[in-house]
Amino acid sequence: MLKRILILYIGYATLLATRCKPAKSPFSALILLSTAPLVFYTKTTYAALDWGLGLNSRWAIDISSKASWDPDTHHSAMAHAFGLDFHKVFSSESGDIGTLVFQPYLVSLNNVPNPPFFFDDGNDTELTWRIANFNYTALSEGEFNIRAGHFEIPFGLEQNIDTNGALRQYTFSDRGIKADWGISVNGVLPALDYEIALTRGSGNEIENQENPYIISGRIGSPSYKNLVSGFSWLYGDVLGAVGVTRLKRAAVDVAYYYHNWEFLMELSGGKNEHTDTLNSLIEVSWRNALEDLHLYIQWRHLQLKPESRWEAGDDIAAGVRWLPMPYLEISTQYEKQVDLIKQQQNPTRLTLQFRLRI
Amino acid sequence: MNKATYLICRVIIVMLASNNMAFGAYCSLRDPIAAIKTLYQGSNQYRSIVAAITDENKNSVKERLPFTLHRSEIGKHTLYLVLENNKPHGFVHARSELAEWGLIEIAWGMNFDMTINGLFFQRCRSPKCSRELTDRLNVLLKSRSFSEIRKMLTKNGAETTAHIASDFAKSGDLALLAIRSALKTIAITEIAWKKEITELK
Repeated sequence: MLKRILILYIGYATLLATRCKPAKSPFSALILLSTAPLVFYTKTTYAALDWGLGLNSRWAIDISSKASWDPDTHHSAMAHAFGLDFHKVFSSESGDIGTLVFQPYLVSLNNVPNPPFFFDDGNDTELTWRIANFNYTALSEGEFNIRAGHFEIPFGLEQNIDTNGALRQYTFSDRGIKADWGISVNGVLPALDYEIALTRGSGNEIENQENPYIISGRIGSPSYKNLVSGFSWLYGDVLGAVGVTRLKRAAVDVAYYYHNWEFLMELSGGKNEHTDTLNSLIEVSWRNALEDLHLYIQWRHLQLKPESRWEAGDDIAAGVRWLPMPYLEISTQYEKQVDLIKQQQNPTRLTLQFRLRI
Repeated sequence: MNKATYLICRVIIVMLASNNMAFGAYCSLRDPIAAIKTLYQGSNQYRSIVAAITDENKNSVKERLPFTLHRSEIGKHTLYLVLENNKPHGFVHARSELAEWGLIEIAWGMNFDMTINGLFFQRCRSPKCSRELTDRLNVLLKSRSFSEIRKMLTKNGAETTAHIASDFAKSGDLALLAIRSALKTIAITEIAWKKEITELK
């Protein structure tokens, strides 16, 4: 047995050495050989995990660190996330049964102002859930599925564009909730995609305090086309730091793709308790041919009418997302509030994030 | 850089190199339902078969073709087995192709004898990816085998033959991309899902 392992190790080390660039020094050669068992161990671990997690599974470790700095106040903050991204399709001989997505993340904050309310303060560490749900797909060939668990609220542009863990975000901050626990029906019909959800209204954790809930949904044109539009709505009591807030929203969103350009627009209106609100977002972005470089600029306009007159505010954000290697993402974003509304005191912020998926 | 730092960097690089994957959270994965319904008319269930496409597979494709997969195609991918009345009916497999305006994703329908059943543009950011072009490419490639499609390209695989080039004068770049994609799809499906396809047959 020992002999077999030794032969395997020597074979693997030789293979590794021949596949890597020639070693320039005895020290490099030594390092190549010394890391061979680590590679062997890593590959074996991945293979064992693949076997243990069963057929049709994908998994990755997702690590990110984000640093932000306010040039006006010179305040700096950091946030680190360490999580698992697991995806598995359950199947039988007669077809797929459903898809499990499981993404628990340990998030640690350092000096973060106004953190989400489920953190004790801006220096807290919490287990958070990005996505954790099972979508039962065996009913009607993808036309009528039932999802249960923690998922993104089906509203606006976020329904079709993945923003989890990214600096680039859309309008969820206007609603105070991005993902929630609950159930939904969803599917793809010949002329439209849809998802309609009933969720707890408490975000990261299931909380019964003040009995929050959200009824939300989006019906849109097929997402594979170059022009995609949708109508969405949200109604309910959303739990925040100071209790529940009654939200009402209706929105239209449009995405248009032309060569390397992406044009996005979302318009929404409604009420936060008794305050009328209007929200709009326009984004123009460009990707290179390899799609490892993404540049974007966003303009967000918010109007609130707390009493008899409207107050308005604008934010601009410009960012870059770069993938220098398939497993590394470096992104940066600059946000600036152009006009202030009393209730929306967002600072100017420069953010840099490193994200690794292994 | 001191030796300790170099060693740590090297270890991290080697660890990363040992796990091939594309960037992007798995919650963004979507089944090609519209493609399956378009390529296989009627009532069709489907079953996912996930397999890892490796550097070795990439080299195997290179042995069959003068071109091969690009780096973002390495990683786990899904072959959809389309079922009709609970019996295997065909396959659907989506591949991403590099184009000057970004990735083009084509879902390919394949019959059990590994001839092409049809194609469906899941993502193409050129206005030239019209319904008309899709129909013409379907007519060109439907029921064609790997060797028949290979003859549509020049020896080095860099261009289409003169006959195809004149037929697709206004969209020659997309016709070339689709033909190369069809060849790659058949090749990688036969290589990466060899065991599953053999068992099904």
